[in-house]
Amino acid sequence: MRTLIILLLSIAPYALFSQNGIQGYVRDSKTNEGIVGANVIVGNVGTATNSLGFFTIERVKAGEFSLEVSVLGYEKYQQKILVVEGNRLELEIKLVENRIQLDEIVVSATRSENRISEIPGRISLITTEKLSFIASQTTDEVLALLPGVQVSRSFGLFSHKSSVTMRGLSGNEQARTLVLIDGIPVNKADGGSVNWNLISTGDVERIEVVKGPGSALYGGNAMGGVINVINRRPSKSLEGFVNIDYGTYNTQGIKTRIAGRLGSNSSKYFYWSTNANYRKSDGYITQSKPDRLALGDNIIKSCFDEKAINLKAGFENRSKIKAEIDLTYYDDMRGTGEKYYQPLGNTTDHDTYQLRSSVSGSFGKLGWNVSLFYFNENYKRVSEWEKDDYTWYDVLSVRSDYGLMSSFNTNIRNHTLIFGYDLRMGEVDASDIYYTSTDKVDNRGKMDFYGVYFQDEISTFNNKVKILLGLRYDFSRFYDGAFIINSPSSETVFMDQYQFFGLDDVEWGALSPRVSIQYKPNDDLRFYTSYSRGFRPSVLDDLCRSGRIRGGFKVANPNLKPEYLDNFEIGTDYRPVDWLKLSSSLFYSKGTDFLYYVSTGDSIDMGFGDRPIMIRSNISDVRIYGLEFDFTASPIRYLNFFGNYAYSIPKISEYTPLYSNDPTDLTGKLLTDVPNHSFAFGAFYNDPRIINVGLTCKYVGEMFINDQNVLDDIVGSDVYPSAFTLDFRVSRELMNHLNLSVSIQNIFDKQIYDSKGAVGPGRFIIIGVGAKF
Amino acid sequence: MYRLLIVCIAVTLLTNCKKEEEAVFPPIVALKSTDDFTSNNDEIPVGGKIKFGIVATTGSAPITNLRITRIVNGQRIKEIDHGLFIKNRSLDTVHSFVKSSAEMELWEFFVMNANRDSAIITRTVLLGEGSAYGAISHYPSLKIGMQNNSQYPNFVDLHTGTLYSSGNISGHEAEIDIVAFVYQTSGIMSPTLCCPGYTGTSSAALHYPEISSWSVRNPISYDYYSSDNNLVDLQKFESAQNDSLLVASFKPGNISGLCKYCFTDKIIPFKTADGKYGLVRVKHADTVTDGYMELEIKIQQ
Repeated sequence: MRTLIILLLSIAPYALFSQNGIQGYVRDSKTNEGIVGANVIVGNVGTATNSLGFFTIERVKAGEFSLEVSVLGYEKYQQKILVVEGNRLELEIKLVENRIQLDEIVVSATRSENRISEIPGRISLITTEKLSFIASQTTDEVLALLPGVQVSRSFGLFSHKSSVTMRGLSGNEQARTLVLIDGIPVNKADGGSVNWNLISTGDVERIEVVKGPGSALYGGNAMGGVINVINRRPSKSLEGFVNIDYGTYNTQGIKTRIAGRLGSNSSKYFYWSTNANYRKSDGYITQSKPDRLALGDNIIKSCFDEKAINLKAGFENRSKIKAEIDLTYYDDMRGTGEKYYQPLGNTTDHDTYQLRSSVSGSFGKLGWNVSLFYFNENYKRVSEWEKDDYTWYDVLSVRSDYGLMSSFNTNIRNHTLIFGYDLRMGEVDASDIYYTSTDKVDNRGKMDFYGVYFQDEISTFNNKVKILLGLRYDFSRFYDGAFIINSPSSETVFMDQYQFFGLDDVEWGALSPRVSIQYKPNDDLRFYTSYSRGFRPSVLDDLCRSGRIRGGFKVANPNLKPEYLDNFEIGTDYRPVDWLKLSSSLFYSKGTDFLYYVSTGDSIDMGFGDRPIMIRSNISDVRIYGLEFDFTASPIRYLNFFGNYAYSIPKISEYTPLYSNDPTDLTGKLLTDVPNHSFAFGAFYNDPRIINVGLTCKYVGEMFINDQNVLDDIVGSDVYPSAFTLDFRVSRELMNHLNLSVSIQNIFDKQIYDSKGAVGPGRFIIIGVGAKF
Repeated sequence: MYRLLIVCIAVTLLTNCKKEEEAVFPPIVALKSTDDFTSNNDEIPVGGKIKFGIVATTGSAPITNLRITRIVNGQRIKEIDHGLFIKNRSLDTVHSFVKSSAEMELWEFFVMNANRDSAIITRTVLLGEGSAYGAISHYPSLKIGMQNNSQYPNFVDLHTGTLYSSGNISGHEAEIDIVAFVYQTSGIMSPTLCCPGYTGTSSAALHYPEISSWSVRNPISYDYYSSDNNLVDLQKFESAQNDSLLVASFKPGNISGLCKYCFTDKIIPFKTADGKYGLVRVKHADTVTDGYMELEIKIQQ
């Protein structure tokens, strides 16, 4: 027996080393030091280097593979390797320290893969690495660190809605900025809003932000810009992680991911992934001080509970066809902090299903892509309060958006032609159902959008000059609109006269041109100038719903037309040294037919005295002047900086009231929720052997609260005060598979109030533990 | 084949095992019939008191709405339309009204629960001979301070016309019907008549914090539309010697609430928690928080 054991032990090393395998070192090309934490991927198999920079991959089949090595701070390394049966391959890989990248590839700006430096416009990219350094709990919070991007999320994680806008357009109007997930639009036709809560930070690979109007390619909503959130795809045969979070207000969360690839080589394979997230929190008191005093024990913490699951499957045959299908289910419940008799008090609830699929390929020189999508959101809001008596009603709203997007591209000499057509349909079917009275208020409507577009990218003068010409025509139809009140009581009887149904269809068209030119004398310098037009379609909520709004009552206007923005822009990127990149943009935008609430000249008593009746109308012209400046720097290994400053003056240049005696004159007033000045700064230190640290700060200047730029009753000022916040994140990877992290948002515990006097969560700390494979 | 048959039977049984559906019951409403209450086809003179005792059971869900409608010549007047939340017990409430000059009034009592299931019962009240309009109390001048005014008292007992301030209110909290304050709404400083029972955002307790500790906080219903449109003529108000104008002016079909924006020379109908009708004339209303309001009030005795 002993002999047998000795024999086995003696042949074991031989057996081990006789298998096909790859091993080696990953080193810095200058210092020759081993690089820790570098990801080494061979075909579908991957590993990471240890503290000496050493890696080993066992049981690799014989054949040709692509080897890829990547780590933050270094340029990606790729090479073809040949694994021979019975041989062990030893490698010595030298990585070149990363220069500041001008040349990341993005897909959003031209609806095809293109390098940032080749696109005559302003594009920002948030990479996986940058995401991992920022102390954010939601995807949209990350965007606030970009110049000129305004994020409205008053209660942090506890907000049931959030909006991201840019380029001096109002911070509360998500409909003016198009948001895509993997290239598919997610702004709802009902209100133009986006449910940012369902985009989990754990699923995101990168975020592309195209500043300025993008309607020449994408049509409606792409007025201020386009944000494309791109989810990650698996890169190994099997990968995944589990992260558990705990933090302020007893906030608990778990994120999991399991994904993999099936296939023998890196150019033809199936892939799949499953992401699941669950998060809940006891919350905190968000209500204003007057509300706390007035409502006493009926004030409760604004809590939340949310869960999401995402399933993705795809096939890629790199040279021929790619296909992907993606299903997301999201369910949340968020308390809004007031409770009387209902089990959870006032709440909002979203049950959302999103189905996205895309197929792309090529016929000869013609590349093509077709995407189909169907989104369904069942929204429920429970409202209850006690004033004169007890009032309780539910808002039940079913919002559906579905459509088809297509693009075709081909190269003819120095021209890259992109063209296609898009169909988008949206509808809403909503009811306010009262339980403390007999009222039932229904509103519904449908909108169809049809768009065709064409774009020509012309490269000339040895690629030093790039010209982008684009044109898109969108046709829209609003139909089946209705606003109906059943069994009205005093709660809704004042709306009785505004009922409508059976209206004629309302149609309009919008033409969106773009002309952009870029001059790039060398890899370190480029200039561009651009003219583009964008539009925002009217939303179903304005077309077919009447109801209470802040300070009055709004009536539906089925005849609304889109608002337009013509944008003129110049910009430059300059890299004076390898480790520093400077960028600046100067823009002037002229808005026409902007949508504003205007008085109809009538007033209404909704139970608390006469209030003006308002109606959305295309009545204002707007001028926006803006400047953005930002830099990224990587002066020494492991250390990266970024910083930016944005200035904008969005002013109403002409206001035409509907009613001649309307005393309101908004001419010369500034748009609400837009700061004149804002800046952000960040520093990231990344040494996997020691620690990863990210420190970011953001300053948002004063912003007007209301359209009239006058004193607001609740806030007690005409402007929101400026706010400076500092966030911090530190993480440490252990044994290549474990991760510990601490995120602190709003370190100085700055109290930030919204227009209702409600307060934000203040300092927010989350501790995370994760494991990955 | 045998196995397939078993599988088919099992599947059939499983698919037929439905969860037993719970029976859903609507609420039930009834009226008390003792001598204290108005019975069907009772004859009551104009200005006389109509009194109903309403009881209702919840059915399968809490009672959430009580609506009492007076129907005169086909015209429906909602006298009461209250949101409620009554769970695990019955609704038991008494409401009093004043007989109009109509020959016949049909009264409809509607109760709804949280399933929006409902029940209705009706009563007919006929016009009796004579008149039963009653005497009124008249307080020609009551000066009360706004929330930051320490010169005048702030709290009004409408039943006696007595005014109280923070210093002497103790023991009289349950008698207070009216308070006044000024607050800013839509950019306008709004002098406001309110009551201790109002719990809205700009509640009485917000301006008079001591109210939040009162065990009894009386509500009062102000008629919005009539005051805003000045439907009550000043001459008629001044010449009113009985409660007929007071009763007729209060339009319950209009929105009535516990808080009323007012300004100098408005005349506002109201109804107290114990069902007394009245008119308040605002002789003076400041628009500053340390100002005062001068009121002239006529109320049923």
